[in-house]
Amino acid sequence: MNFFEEYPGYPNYEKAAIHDEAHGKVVRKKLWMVFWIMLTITIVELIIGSQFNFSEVNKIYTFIFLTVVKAFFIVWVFMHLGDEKRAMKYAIIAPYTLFIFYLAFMCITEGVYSKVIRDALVTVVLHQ
Amino acid sequence: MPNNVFTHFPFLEGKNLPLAYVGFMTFDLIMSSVTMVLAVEAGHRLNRKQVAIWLFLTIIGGFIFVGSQCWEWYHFITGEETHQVYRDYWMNGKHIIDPHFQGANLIVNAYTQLPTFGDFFFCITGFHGFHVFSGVIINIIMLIMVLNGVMDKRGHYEMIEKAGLYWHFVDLVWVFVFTFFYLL
Repeated sequence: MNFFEEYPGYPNYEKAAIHDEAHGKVVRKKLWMVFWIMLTITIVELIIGSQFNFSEVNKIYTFIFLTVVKAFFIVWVFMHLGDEKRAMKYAIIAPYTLFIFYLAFMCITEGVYSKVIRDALVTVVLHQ
Repeated sequence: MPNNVFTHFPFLEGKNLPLAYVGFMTFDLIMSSVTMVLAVEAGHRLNRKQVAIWLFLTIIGGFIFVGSQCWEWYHFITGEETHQVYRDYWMNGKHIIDPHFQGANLIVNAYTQLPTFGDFFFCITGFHGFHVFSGVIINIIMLIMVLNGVMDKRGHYEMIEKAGLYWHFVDLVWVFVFTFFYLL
């Protein structure tokens, strides 16, 4: 006798996601739409990266924004976070989004550290 | 700066195609992510044949990605067919000018005056490639289990969902690696 037969009222989460053919069609349509959105974003990124001469700052923030949009779609649709309950999804997505922006900002503003150090070393060596 | 490094494409050597190959790699990984989520969806309909087909396509996509990364590392290390700027570098406080200096290693590289560029590139893409490879192995195990009917015996395809979460996480990491190492 397995667990779910022993406790008939207990929710079976593993089988909760099972759906029929009609619902599957709706889900597949949504997945392919997300695929086209992500492909478009990637192509836009490539065109900006290889063709346009944006100012460096505009380029950096455009790329980071588009990246976070792509990451959002992966987590929301492909990893099924969008199917969770309201409080659950925002509790997960909000802190991580903030943290990603914070980390990207710190990488850009503090990331020159090694170059600064290196330039200083080169100067010291040249003046010897 | 990396968009000047990776300007080459297989079978089109010598042409200046910035970001073309890494664009292909990104497309490949997004595509394999979609096939993975379609395998999960087919699992929700308990359709064993479709799960196997989509998982197989995901595995193919993963192998294409790992192979592409090997090809790119080879060209990055040897410096063939890549846009190199510098023929000089600093080592142990000495300025060394070497007209034959090309490629990259963990200490110096010919693409930029920043020696850390090679370190970061090898470290991050190496770890990501390793994760893609282990994801492919997990997917192969899942495919064998599906073909043996293990999931049908259990009555649900929950394990495909879990393997899919791993695979999507690898894709998620690549989205950031792509931006911070190739585009910026």
